[in-house]
Amino acid sequence: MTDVSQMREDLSYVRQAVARGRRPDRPPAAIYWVWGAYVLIGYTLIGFRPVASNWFFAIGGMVGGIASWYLGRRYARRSGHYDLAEVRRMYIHWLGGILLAVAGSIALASVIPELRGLHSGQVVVVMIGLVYFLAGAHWDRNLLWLGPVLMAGGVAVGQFPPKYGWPALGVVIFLGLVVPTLLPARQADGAAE
Amino acid sequence: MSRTDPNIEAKASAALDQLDPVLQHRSRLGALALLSSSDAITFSRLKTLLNETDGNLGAQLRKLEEAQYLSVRKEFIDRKPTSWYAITPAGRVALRGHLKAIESLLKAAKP
Repeated sequence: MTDVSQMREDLSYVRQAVARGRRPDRPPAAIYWVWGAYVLIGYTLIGFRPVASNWFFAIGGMVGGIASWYLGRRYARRSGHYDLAEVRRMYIHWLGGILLAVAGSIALASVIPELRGLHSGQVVVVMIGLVYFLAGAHWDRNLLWLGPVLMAGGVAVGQFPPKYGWPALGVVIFLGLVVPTLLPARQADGAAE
Repeated sequence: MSRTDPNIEAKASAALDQLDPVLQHRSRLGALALLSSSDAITFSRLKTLLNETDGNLGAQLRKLEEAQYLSVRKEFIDRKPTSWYAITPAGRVALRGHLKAIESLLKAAKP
């Protein structure tokens, strides 16, 4: 005879195990270093070699994506947990979010002439700040504040000469991405639940 | 509503019949529930998530494997043998049916 209270206990045990399995881990630290370096180098290039920065962002973005895929896969193998649905969600968020940010800035610049040239870069950065913030809501609490910092930085950078403003913003974002990886790991640090 | 309501009793009895005997052990149910929301999980990760010992979990996973509710793939990671478990379509159907039966039972048992 199946005892109902035993059944409830068993369900509670299963629920706890599933909750432990769903607790988001922060992605491996190396991924933050890859993207921190990408932002630092790219933003510095905007200040000193704007044309080269376009090539860097395009090619570096692809290299960073492949590196992130490799690092994430290696991490999943070592942690013993493959969840391709989660990987798909991350790719849709980051790749889709950044492509839409670029497309959105092109669309805005086509109707608002003031947003062309260096200003289009600012618009992209403000929108990418929103993508960071949403990643903070889903996965990594650290990005909850780094997103708004990037958005504010994207606006503020226009107030300074490019060779100072952009590299300075690059340093801030680089530090915001990599410093938390040097701090002791916090369990359940993933999302704003 | 009383528990002796014949309609509820009939539903509860039907739900009892639908319970899968293989999944009436909490570790087996837990393992299958975890695997249903992932593509693959290793033995050691399942052990951590389910708070089980090696021996007990090994025995329970073997029963799930015998029922063809999960598949196992072995590989070496950093020179260590690692077993990856994944839920099969039959396991997914069984889990869904079992959870539905539990839900009916718990509804019938509500005071």
